[in-house]
Amino acid sequence: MAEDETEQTPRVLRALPISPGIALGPVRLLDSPDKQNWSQPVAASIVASQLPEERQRLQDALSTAEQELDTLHAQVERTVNRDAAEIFTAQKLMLNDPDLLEEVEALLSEQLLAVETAWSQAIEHQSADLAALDDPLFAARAADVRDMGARVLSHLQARQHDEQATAISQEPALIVTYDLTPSQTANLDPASILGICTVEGGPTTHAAIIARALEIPAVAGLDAGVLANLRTGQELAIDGKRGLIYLQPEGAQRAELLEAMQRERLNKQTRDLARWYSQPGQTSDGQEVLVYANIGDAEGAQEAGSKGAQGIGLLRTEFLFGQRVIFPDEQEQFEGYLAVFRAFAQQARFQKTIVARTLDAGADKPFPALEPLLGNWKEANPALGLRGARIHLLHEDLLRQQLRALLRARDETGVHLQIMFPMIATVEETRRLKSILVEVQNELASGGIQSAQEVQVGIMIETPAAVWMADALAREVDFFSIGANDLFQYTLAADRTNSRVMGMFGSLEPALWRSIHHILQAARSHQRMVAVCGEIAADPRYGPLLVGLGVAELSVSPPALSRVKEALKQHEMAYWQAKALTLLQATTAAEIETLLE
Amino acid sequence: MPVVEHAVVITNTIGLHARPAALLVQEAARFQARIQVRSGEKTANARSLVGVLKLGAGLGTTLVFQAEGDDAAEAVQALIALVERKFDEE
Repeated sequence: MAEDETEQTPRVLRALPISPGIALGPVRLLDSPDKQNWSQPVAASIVASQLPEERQRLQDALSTAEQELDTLHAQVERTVNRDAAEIFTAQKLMLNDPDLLEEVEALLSEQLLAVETAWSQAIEHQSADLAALDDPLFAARAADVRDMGARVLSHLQARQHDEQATAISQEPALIVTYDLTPSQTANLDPASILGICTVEGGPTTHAAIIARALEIPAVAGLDAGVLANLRTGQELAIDGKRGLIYLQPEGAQRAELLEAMQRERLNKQTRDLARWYSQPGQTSDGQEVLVYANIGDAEGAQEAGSKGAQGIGLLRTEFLFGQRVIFPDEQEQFEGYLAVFRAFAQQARFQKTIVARTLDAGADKPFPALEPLLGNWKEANPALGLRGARIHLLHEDLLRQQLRALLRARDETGVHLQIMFPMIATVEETRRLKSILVEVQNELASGGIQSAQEVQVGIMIETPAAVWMADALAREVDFFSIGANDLFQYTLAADRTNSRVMGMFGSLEPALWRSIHHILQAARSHQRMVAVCGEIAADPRYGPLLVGLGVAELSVSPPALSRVKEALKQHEMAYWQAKALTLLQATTAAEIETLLE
Repeated sequence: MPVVEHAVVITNTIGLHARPAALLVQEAARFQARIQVRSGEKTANARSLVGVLKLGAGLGTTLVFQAEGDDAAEAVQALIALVERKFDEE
C-alpha cells in the first residue's frame, strides 16, 4: 500500500456510465475477437477454375451463420427481451445485404481473391463507411457488420466462432475486455457476471442495451494502458451510474461498495419477483397456463391477489373451524367466507375464480368442535380413517350448512365460486355429495339466490382408488384437483412426516408421475380440467412438466407464484410436453433426476 | 418499365436507424421493383440494410423513393406509408 508505484496510480478512475449499479469482484479478462483475428486478412488469390468452389463455400458459410443468428435471436429473446434480440434480425439482413454480396462477388470474379479475403475486404469496406458517419447512433452499427462478418469468416476458415469460449458459466466476476461484440454479449451467462468494464463502447452499443436490460452494472472508457496491466482474479469495482472504476479497493471504501452492491442485488430480487405479478402464467411461446394460489384465510387471499394469482385454486376452509370448541354456525361461516372472497376480489389482477374445498377434517388436523358429534376420536390409522368427505356423508347437516354459507357469500360478492370435495375414493361418494349440493342449490335458488345454480363442482384426487376410477369420476364432476401431497403418500404407502420413510419423497418416484398421467388421460377423454395443488406444483423443476403432461392449472402458495410463472416462461409448450413424456419412461427416481438435468 | 418517384419526411424520433431501417429493408424486399432511396447527396439500394443505414437519415430528413418495375407504384406507396406510420413505433 505504501509503495511509491501504488501512490502514483490513481485508485479511482473516471469512465463512461453505461448501465447503472455497483459491482465489486474479481476481474475476468476476455479476449476481443474483434481485435484478435479480424484485421489484415492475408491476401490470397485463386485461379478462375476455383470460382464455383469458392462461391459454394461462401454460400455454406452464410447459411450456417444465418442459422446461428436465428438461434441467438431466439435465445436472447428468451433470456433478455425482444428489443435486445432484434439486433440479430438486423445482422441477418446485413448477411443477406445485396450491396455487400455484390461487392464480394466482384472481388471474387474480377480480382480472383480467395473467398476469405474477398469477404474480409468487403466487410471492412462496408463497416468503415458506416463507422465514418457523424451520428454515433448510426456509426455504432459498424460493430454489427463486423460481428456478423467475423461469424461468417470463422465458418469460411472452418473454425468455431469465438463466442464458444465465453459461453461456459463460471464463478461470478467482472468482465473486463477491450470491446464486447453483440454475439459475445448474447453468450455471456448473466448469472456469472457482476459487471462489465470495457475500453470501447458507448451507451448505444448492443452490449449496453443488454447490460441495461439484465440490470448488470457497466462502464466503458477504461484506459487501454490500465487494461494491459490488469490480471484475471484481481479485484475491481465499478459504479455504472456515476461512471467510476475502483482499482483494488480496500478498507472502508471496499466495505461501502460491497454493501451498496448487496443492497442493490436484494432490491433487484424483490423487483424481479414483482415483475411477474401483473403477468399471467405462460410458456415462452405464449400458451397460457393458470397459476392459482392455495390460501387459508383473508390475509392469504389478499396476498394471493396482490402477488398475481390468477385465481384461488384451493381455499382451505378449515381456517374457520381450527381450534374452535363450538362449531361455527351458518351465519358465522358466511361472514368468514365473505371476508376471504372480498379480500381476494379487491386485490385480484385477473379473474376472480375461487375454488373452495369443503371441510377437510380428520387425519393430522384436530377439530375439537367435531368431537361432540363424532365422539372420542382416536384412530389407530387416522390417515386411513374418518376424514374429509367421509365426515360429510356421516353428518350431512354440517356439509349443507357449509355449502349454504359458501353459496350465499358467492352471491353477495359475485366471485366465480367452484366447490371441491376432499378425500374421494368412490363414485358413490361423489354422487351422494353432488346430490346434496344440488339440493342446497335448489333450496337457495327457490329462496331467491339464483346464482347458487352457477357453481361448478369438482373433487380432489388424492387416493389411488380415485386415480383408477378417474374416467368414471370424470363423468360425475366438472373438474379434478390433484392433491399431490396426499396422493403421493397414499400411493407410496409412506407418511411424508415420518422421518424414517420421508426419504421416499426426496425425488420424484416414477409411480407418482405415471399416476398423474393416468388421471390426465382419463380427464382428457371427458374434456375435464385438471389442476394440481401440493408442493410439486410449486417446484420450478416439476411445475412446468405437469403442464407439459396436460395439467391446466397449478395452484401454489402465494410467495411461489412468481417463481412458477418464471419457470414456465423458460421453454415452449412443445418442450415441456416432450420432456414430460420422457419422464414416463423412467423406472427409478434416479432416472427421473438424470432426465431433469 | 414504369418509374415512380415520391418523397416523404421522416417523423419518428430515432430516424432511419436500427429497427426502422430493418423494417424498411424487409418491406422493400416484398416487391420485384428495383428501389432506390435518396437522402440529400446519398443514394442507397432500399434492399440493403447497410446502404440504408449509411444514409444516416435522422428525424426531419426528406427521403425520396424511386422504384422501377411492374409493381413500382405499390412499392413506393407501401414504403411511404411505412415512414408516415412512423414505423408503427410511436
